[in-house]
Amino acid sequence: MSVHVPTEQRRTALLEGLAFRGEWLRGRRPPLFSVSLALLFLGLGVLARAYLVEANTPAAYAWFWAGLGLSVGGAIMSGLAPASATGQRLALLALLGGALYLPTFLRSPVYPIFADELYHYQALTLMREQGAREVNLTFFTIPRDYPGLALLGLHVVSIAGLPSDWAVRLVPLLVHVTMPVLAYAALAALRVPERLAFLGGLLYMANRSFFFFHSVFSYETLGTLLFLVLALLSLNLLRKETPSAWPFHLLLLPVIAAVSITHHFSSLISLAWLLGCAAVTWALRHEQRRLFGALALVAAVFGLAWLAFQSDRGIQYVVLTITNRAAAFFNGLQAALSGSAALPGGDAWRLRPLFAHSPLPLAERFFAYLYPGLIAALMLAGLARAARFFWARRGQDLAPYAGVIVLGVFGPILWLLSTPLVLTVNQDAAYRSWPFLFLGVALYVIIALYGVEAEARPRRVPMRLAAVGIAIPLLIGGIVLGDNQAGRFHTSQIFAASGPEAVTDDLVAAARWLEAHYGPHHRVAGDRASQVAFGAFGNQRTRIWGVGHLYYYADPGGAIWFLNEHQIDFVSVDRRVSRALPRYTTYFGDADPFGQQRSLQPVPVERLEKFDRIRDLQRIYDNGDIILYRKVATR
Amino acid sequence: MNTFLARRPGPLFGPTLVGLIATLALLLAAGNVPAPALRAPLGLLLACFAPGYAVLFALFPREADRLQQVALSVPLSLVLGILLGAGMDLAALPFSGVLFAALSWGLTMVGLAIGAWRLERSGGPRAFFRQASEGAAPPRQAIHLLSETLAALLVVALAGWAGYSLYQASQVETKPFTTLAVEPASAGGAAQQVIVIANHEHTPMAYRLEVRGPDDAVIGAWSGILTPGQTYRMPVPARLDLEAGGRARVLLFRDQESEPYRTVHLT
Repeated sequence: MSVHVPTEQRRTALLEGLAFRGEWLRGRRPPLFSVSLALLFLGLGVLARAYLVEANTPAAYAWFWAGLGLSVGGAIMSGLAPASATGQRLALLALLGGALYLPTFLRSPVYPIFADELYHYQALTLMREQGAREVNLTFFTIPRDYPGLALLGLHVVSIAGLPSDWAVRLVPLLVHVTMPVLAYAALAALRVPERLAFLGGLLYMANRSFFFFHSVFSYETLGTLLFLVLALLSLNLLRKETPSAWPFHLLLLPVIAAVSITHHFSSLISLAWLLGCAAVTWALRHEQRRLFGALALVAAVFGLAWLAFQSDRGIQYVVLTITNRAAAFFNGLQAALSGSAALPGGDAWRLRPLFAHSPLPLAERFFAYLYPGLIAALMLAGLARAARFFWARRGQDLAPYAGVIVLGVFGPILWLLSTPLVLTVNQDAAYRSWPFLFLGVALYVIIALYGVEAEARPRRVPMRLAAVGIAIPLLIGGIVLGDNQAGRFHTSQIFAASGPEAVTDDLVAAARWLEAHYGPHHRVAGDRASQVAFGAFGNQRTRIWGVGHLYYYADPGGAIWFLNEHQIDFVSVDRRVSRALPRYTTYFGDADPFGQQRSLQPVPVERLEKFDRIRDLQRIYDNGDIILYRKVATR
Repeated sequence: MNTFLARRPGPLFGPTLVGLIATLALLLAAGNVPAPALRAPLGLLLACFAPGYAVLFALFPREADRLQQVALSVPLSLVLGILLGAGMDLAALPFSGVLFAALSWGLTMVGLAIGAWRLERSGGPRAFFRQASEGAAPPRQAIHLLSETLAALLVVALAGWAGYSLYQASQVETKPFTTLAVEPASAGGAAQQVIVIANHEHTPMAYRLEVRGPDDAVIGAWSGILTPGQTYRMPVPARLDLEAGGRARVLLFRDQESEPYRTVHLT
């Protein structure tokens, strides 16, 4: 396995000599890497101070950005220096990836709070307790059908003898540390000079999902990592001068298998990637074209075989998801074209507004608004530059550039095509596909700045500063756009109800208390945060279609009918739904009568107090914000 | 220069070290050794690094470029961890730490053995150490060593400070609350319902509890101070009669307040 990375030529520019090669201090080279590490760790310490001062104050934001600035600045100082070694760049990228994981951990250090990670946390915990994959999941069963993340978590904590909670922290940390390193290696495999590959690793971290979404214990996070491994191995095969291809084929097989049992969407994207590689290699008459066709076939077979192995459960879920998403896509498109989406009750009302309930300062939001435009401009410039490069070589053998062409499709082209979706109800499809496209985006930013054959370009200091000047706003924009959905800092006052920030100590205590004293697997009604908390921490069955109606009825009679009709054992009332608007458009999820598309007013407090007047319900638990009622036999 | 210091790791140095670490981690896991400070880091290396490293060594025993080896060792280990778990599930083996460790160790050892065998067959150098080439590392001046040592100390000090700051930041004060609850009678526990007060307010708190019957008459009371984390349990008063279908209320007051702080029902 060898990657040809041209040795960087030394320059004699005065500034570079002073800054990077350091003929300062009587002709001795400064320990640049040590200075970088010192700045990086100093930044981490400063970043931690942001979580020790009062949340959401100017001081907290100042500590946060000062810490990140020091860490990123330290990494860039050594990472972009021509004299730095490969290992140093890898270490800096890994450390920076780890540093960007920390804010999510520090936001909720005691337990995970996001629905996505709590589903998998429950699966992992139960699998470890029972020693088998077939466990009775009470809220969301897909982690059992796609168990890659839970199996990996088990593997890590079982061998190390750590509590199950550690998997929720360790696996995302490993992913965060590894992703930029993989991006770096993938770009280096395309003969991008290592210094620019470091810039590419930095740009990969600017993708909207990296800062927060890839810091949570989610199968999508792991799926994205596995896709990056697949991409790295494929890009090695696409190189013309690869000495022997069979080890890469051998390595690709377990990766394809692992992604198939980890995440359905990543599995589909991986299949699409391999098909794309096959198409490009066929078009370029690349020597690996048949093998890419075979690998695509293997990926399809693996994916389908796992679905079949899951009997009807996995198939049902995936088919329903694809059908619903496709229907939503075309309906959304139709509504957008007809103009009905913006009318009251239209699709636009189901969009998650940017910065809803967010205390982020205006200055930060500026970078978020700058982000898409800047990327779009860079993508267009990169594509134009690549097109000019390939046009000039028309008729020649372009097989050595197969990787650049594949990443052109799985990067700028798909990114530009998917970006308009963020203005429709299909915005999730766009947001979720971007992490898979950002390797290509990073490459084409480099192409926009330095051209396709970057190593042939002169390395001027202004160009280096321009690269940093583009990477930093993108990184800030990515962090702000993909900021923690529960709020960046831990606060006692929540800004929205029924979302992750509502999974607080009192709610978790109530869920654990209920399981401890009444046992698991009861049917528990509650808002979205209660559904997640009682499902994951209390092992109760909380999926009840249209549960919002139980709370919506003004008279106890309707509520009693709903209780009996749905055989509800316990009712959870979170008083915060009467004080704040919901985090994710609705309080109760599907068929929420308080707002089918978006709730515009908090739940009237009388609707919550009516449960005290229902004789079938006994109020058994009250911790202030959380009240629990038990359904008792009517006398 | 000292001949030992002049040596550099040979092609078998890394694989041997990884094999030793994997074996030690397996022994710690098999013995369920209660030494987390030792078992956790070694176990993490066995779970997250060693299998991937060994497979890469088996496939590319002679490659000089370490970039992709470093980049791929961790994610490949994660891939293999997923597949080991899936294999155990298919074979109906229980998910136990020892089994996970044994399979990872086996995979690591097989990979390392294949790599060493392929290295020998290829005729490449296969020593644990090799002598550094002449002139590769010129003797360092004392001032150079001093500056590097000082820089390393600065990095270590800042890393320690950062670690301490992160630890401090992770010790967040949780949301304060007081719980009032009715625990059910249970076969192995209380014979009747029990009223429970739990103080999670992070401060000592004076409480007053009243049990009021269906006619609102006080039929049981308690008052006292609970320290943070302390719980008070009180059986439901024996003279409470709810047979007629009435509902009693349990009211918890804070300090001298007249409005109930918490309320539960007895039916």
